[in-house]
Amino acid sequence: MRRLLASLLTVILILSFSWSLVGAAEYPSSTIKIMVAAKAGGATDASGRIVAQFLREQLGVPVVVVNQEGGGGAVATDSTINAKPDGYTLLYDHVNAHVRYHTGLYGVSPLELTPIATTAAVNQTIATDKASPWQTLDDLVQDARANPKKYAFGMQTGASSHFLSLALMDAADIELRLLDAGFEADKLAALRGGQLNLIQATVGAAREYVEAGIMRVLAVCATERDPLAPDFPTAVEQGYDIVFQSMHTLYGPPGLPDEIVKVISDALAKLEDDPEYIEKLHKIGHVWGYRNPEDTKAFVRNEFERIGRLAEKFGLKK
Amino acid sequence: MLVLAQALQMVIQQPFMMVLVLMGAVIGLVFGAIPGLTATTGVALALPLTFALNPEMGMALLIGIYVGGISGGFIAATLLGIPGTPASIATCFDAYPLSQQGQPVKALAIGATASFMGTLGSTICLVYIAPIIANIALKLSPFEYSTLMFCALTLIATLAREEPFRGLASGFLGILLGSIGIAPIGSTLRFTFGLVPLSAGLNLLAMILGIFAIKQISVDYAEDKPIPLVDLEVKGLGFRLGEIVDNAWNIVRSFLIGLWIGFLPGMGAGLANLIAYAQAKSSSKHPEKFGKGAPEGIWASEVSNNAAIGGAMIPMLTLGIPGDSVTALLLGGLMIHGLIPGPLLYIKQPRLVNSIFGLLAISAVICLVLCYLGMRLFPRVLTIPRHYLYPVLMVLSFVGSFASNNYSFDFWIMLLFALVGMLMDMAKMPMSPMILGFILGPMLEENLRRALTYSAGSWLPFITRPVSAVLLAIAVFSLVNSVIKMRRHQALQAGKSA
Repeated sequence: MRRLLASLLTVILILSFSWSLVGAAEYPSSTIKIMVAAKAGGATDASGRIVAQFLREQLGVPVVVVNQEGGGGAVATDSTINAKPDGYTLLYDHVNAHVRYHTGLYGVSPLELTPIATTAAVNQTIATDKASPWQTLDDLVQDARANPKKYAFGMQTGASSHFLSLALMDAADIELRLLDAGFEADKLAALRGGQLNLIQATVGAAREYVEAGIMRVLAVCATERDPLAPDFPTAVEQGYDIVFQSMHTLYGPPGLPDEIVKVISDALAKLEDDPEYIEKLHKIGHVWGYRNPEDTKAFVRNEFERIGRLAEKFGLKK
Repeated sequence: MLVLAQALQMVIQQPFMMVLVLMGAVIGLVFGAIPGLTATTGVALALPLTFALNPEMGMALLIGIYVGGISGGFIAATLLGIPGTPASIATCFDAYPLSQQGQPVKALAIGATASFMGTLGSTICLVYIAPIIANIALKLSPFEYSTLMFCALTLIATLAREEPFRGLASGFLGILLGSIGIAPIGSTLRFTFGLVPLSAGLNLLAMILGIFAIKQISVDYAEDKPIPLVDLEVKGLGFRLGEIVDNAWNIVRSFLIGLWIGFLPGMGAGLANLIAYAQAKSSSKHPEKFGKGAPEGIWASEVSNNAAIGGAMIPMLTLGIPGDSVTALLLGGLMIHGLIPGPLLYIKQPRLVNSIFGLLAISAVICLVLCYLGMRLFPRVLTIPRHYLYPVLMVLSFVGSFASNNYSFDFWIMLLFALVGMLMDMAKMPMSPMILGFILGPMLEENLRRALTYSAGSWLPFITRPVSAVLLAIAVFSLVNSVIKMRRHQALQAGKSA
């Protein structure tokens, strides 16, 4: 009798496992984890949480954000790369993924991951103190060409702001002193304190400081003006080809099946008509930036090569 | 006092806000008291909840948790010898011995009162002198930051006074451990041995849980220490009122240290308590009593860690620069509502800024009341048989070490440091220099290297900039002073044994 009971229980156990396998065929059927390569509370985290919230409504399963900021995002990427490609572990990251690889901080190329969609963009500006004589990007470029290595650009070594300053030097053919000044907020303080001449600032932050009358934006590093700050001129319209957005991108582990990619990507695409979603993004200084899986793939490859070229040219390639 | 009174009135008039801040303080105290769960964890967990509330209500919950979390840390530190949060590391050194000597109520009462003083005092500073202090910060450059860090690092010599060799070895071990991971400037990987998790560096919380919680639990259990007899009676304040007078200078000094360290970006209560403790020991008439249940040590640690709260809020509200990890989260909480803290916040959102002031003050009072209400209850933890208590603590330590980074690798860090802690105990190496070195080393390096890029490699500005020069002079004085006292101590020891 006891043996019978034991075998019965074993059968039930096996069945229950296979049941969950059957369940897995219909994606999504359980909690989706989004690994965010930034700490809780920052802009990347906020945008990841907004995406998670709306994905939950679209897909009807819980979508949770897991913050793994360690190693500048290397830990989150590693967790995703090693996860099962079942669509329940995704990665939320931006241009830093390429920077990390090209500067040798993390050995696996982001091209190994399965790109799903780009979700939202943060436009970056090149800004200076209100008291600075430069009114336009051209003023800066002329001045800097006459005085190579004189002006200080505040950036964070090995982070995206570092590459933005390289993109500026590359496109305008100028030489700046690149000084490490930590995160965005620290840079603002150093700019105010007169230790820096130029900094990179997100459009959201720059808007506040321009309004407070303490900062001037020389250029937005994008092809089109940012809907959040239509007054800010772009670098491209001033004749300098500096395009440097933080494009938030959702990735899956390597080998994520196309059907699953499509489910997530389609759900995200629908959000374009959701005013609440757009408003939430705008509140944190982000703008709509969806791309379908094919375009995302092309975009990621393009970014990867651009960052790689800059890293090589300025001797950061490891 | 008009601004603060108005702010308080505003909070009290909104019952829902009071409920939220009370709820926050209770959650915070629990998170603070449980080893491994910190104010940062609590705020991070509650953050998504506040997205649905309006910004003021959201802040009520988060600030309650923040103040509660930093305040509650002393409870576990006192009763179990395990810091509830990194903000209370130094509290363990004296509060635990005092409670083992049968006076947990006194130790707790000091902790509660000191926490209250720190929070309230720093809130008052935040309300009245925030813009002045914020402007000073703008004038500071990496030169001053690095000399300040250097100054703080000389305190290792103070902590190591009784055992100079072992203490310094422990301090340098901490600095070495702190260099694991991505180098602050230049982004090179160091000592990672090809392990991706190590590129994040060692997790401070996992390390502390290993050194204090797991080690303490294992050793106590192995030794089968008898449960101490405790005096559970609470009389009046729990300590003599005269003690506040005796410690007046200690309290003021610790308060200023906490306020200043909290205010500097990137540092917080976790560093403030260690520095204040080392300073208190350095200027005490009886440094030999430190580590054996000296109330002075508890005052220093607990006043300073709570003073760091108001300190950290100053740059956050005035400049949008977070002073510590919790204010970074609060910043996120405001940002999601489209509010960008900075110079405009005071002008655009006076109501919000005012309610933050009021909430901080109210939270301080709520925490004080809750701690005194619980004073009869908390020490009973000591009477729980170890075979019930310890498994629970063990589980909580694992949860805590996982929760701060959502990463299971941190279990191994925790277990490794439990072993390191045991070995250090056997070698009679003090722990505090190691922790101080671990926290300060990377900060010193980052600022030093940053300063050198500013000056294109020249060391001269360290001497020519006045503030930096003064800080260097203090550092040299502190070192010389330590050496003299160390010698005197050794001579005294030699005299005794002769």
